Amino acid sequence: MIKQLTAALKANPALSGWLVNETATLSSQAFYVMQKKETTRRVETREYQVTVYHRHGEQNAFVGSSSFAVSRKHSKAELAKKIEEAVFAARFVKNKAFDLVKGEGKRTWKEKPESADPFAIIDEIANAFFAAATPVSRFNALEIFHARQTIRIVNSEGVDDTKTLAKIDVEAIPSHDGPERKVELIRMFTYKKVDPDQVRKDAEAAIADVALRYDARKIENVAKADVILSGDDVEDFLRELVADFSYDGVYRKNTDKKIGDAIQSEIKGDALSIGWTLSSKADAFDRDGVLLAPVRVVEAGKLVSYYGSNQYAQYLGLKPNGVYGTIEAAPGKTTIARMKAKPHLEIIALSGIQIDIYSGYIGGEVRLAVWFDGKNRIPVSGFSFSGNIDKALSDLVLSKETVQGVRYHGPKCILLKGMDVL
Amino acid sequence: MTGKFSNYLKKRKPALQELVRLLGEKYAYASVLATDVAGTNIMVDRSTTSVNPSGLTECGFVVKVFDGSAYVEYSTNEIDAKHLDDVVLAVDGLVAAQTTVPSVSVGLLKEEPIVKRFSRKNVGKDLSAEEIIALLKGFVETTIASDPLIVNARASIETTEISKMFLSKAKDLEQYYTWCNPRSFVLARRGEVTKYAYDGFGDNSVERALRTLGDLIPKTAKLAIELLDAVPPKPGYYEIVTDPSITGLIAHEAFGHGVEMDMFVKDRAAAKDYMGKRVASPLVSMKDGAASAFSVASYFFDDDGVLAGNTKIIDKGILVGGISDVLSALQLGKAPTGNSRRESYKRKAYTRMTNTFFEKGKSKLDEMIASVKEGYFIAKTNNGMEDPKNWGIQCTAHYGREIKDGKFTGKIVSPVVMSGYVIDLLESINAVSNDFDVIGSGSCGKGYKEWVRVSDGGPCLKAKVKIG
Repeated sequence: MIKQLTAALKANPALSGWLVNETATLSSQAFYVMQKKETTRRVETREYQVTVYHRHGEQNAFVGSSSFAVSRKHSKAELAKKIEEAVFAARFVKNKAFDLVKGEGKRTWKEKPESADPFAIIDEIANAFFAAATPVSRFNALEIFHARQTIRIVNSEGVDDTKTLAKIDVEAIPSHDGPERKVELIRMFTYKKVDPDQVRKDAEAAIADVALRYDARKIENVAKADVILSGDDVEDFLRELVADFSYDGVYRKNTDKKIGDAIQSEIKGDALSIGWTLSSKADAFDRDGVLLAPVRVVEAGKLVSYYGSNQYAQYLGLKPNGVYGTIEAAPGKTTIARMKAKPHLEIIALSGIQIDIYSGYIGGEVRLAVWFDGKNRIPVSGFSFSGNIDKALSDLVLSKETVQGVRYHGPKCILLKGMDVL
Repeated sequence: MTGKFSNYLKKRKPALQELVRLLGEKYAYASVLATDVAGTNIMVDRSTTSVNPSGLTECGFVVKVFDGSAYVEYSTNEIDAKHLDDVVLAVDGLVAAQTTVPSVSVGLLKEEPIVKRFSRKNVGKDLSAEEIIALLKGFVETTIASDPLIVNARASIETTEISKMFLSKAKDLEQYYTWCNPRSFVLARRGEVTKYAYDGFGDNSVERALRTLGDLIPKTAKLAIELLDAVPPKPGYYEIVTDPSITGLIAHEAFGHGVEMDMFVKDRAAAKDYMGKRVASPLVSMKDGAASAFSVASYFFDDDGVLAGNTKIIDKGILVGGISDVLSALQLGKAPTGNSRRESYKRKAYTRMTNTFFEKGKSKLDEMIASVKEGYFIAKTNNGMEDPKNWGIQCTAHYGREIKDGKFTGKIVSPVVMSGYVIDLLESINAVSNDFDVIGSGSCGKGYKEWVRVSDGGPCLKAKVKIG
């Protein structure tokens, strides 16, 4: 298909360039209800997104682009028509001209595949989760997605890069039925490969957490607390902090921060260093064919570099470093044990962390936390916390211990001081 | 837009019918869902214009069979008459995949025979990319020129043209319909303070939608500038009056997710034990259904070939019904309500909401505001999160306007994060206005994934909530 597409694109004289993104997906999926298999699925698809570029205006000052999807076989005439329609739209797009990424021949990156059959792997994971169940705590729902994706980028400037990535996503719903009530949590896990020990630990932790939620009560007589966040909440927080420093964000004036400006004012706690990196060696290029390399965006609490796509990098006169999926942050010097030695509220599950970087708001409804009053650790639930991001950044504490996930590498926990509790 | 059902699916139909026949010889149940969704998202801001496929664009097939105890699905984007045996082999392989975890024992789906075609075309003129870009550009330039505090403005319209076909031993259904979602976004800055406002709605007329968008953007810009003075509210318990978008968000998060009956099967919803019981103020009645309102989720049949429904969920404070996909309905011994939806042909079908809303009441909005001692008029949905088993709720509004002694003080707060216990919130509703609006511009996830387009809304509500 890609040959047919590139031939059709080359045949259109109005094009100044083109880009084809091919995504081939092979996914095996299993869905369990009350620890029994309810549905199995397999997905086998090969889909394309085609972008056409058309230079126009005086001295070709503008480049118009337009994209369309191709999800099925087309005749030569049908493809030519789709391309012509895209070119027609591109004629009215007057973006500042930029060059497409230049290629260096055919290149391939591949993650080593698991040798076992995907459904055997799924079976192993499901059994590991169900083995963690107890007479009163079990997984009322479990969904496992084993996916292998091959992404190929071909453009008119010689880029022809292919990467094959694999991952396993698990959504687990640990549930606890007690004499007083029933409670549950939602737990998401992503694995690059199956480590039985890690899967077992995750399953056991999920069961332990939901049992803790059963014991949780309303927090009482606590109006302010130092809050410890971990997992996805830390990742979301760090992503929000640097989201507007993309070339795209800067060009669109989403931020007024300049290189060298402080992200943290009056650093009394740990200084932040945040950047982007590759999720794996095979995740080597972005959607335009830009080769990815780790980039540091914030260093010692100051903005040191913007980041982002080929098009907007050229608009700002900077080097494109690509669009990344994995955020990384440098650890602090405080151990988690030391972080937890003083009174604090350790968040285990939120409805969803709420962050508004423009209003400086951070908070969320707490589904499960542990309140340490200096003597006792008390499971608590059914309240919210909130605070000001700027103040929290000033006193921020980062854990010495780190995690290496698919989408996040960095401190396992962060501590936000003086949050309001209601 | 083509204005008609997909030619591609029409051409594939004989092969798909043959596939259902071949699979039907081996399996007690066999069906094929075929989708061909085309669409474009055109966006213009101060610096760039983009023309991309709509996020809903897809073209593919879901083959589903019953293996005697559970259901098996195969999703692919290539089925043709010459390779039907390959599809049958793939399905057989999937059925044969050995697993050690035992299966649930689900019965056979029983279907009433039906053959039907549905069509709903775009109303009015279909505009070209050139005309749409020119209009959007005009909106953006006018907005940016209107005030020096505005640093960027964005206008977009996403148009979609949906063709779906459902074939089984008993069913032969085809539907074609269109929808579009215009959206506005304005960024304002004064000194070091940056704030934004956004809006969006849905329509089945591109021409009318663009006209309305032109009226909407100046309001978005005015709000963005107002928000430059906004601060987050002081945490506490407040009386609130909601705009229809927040009413819809509460309906959606508080009880919509809680009555998705696949959650009953998984023992994941407290609502299961509250059927026929009071769960809200007697002023509250609530509905959901693709046929209950005309909006973004107004399809004719769902992704399992069940005709659109109109389900009463709460009647004067009493929980009276839930919504279901075919598999959940089968397991619960209920009739399916037409709420089986997939994020795309590549994903499983779950019970999902469609158009969800509280029904209107008799109070007047100005009287409701006048009755607030200290609180906020809360507006513009940002996001929300359900907790159907434990009835926690989190709803985030983009802003609120302060009310003291029945009058607006002029103070504006943002963001407004409401949380609490669902029943407390619904019981606290003490006035329901005679206004009504359903807004079809958002997406809904199940947990943290499986995104589908939904609408929600209703009248304005007066209630008491925790903000913080």
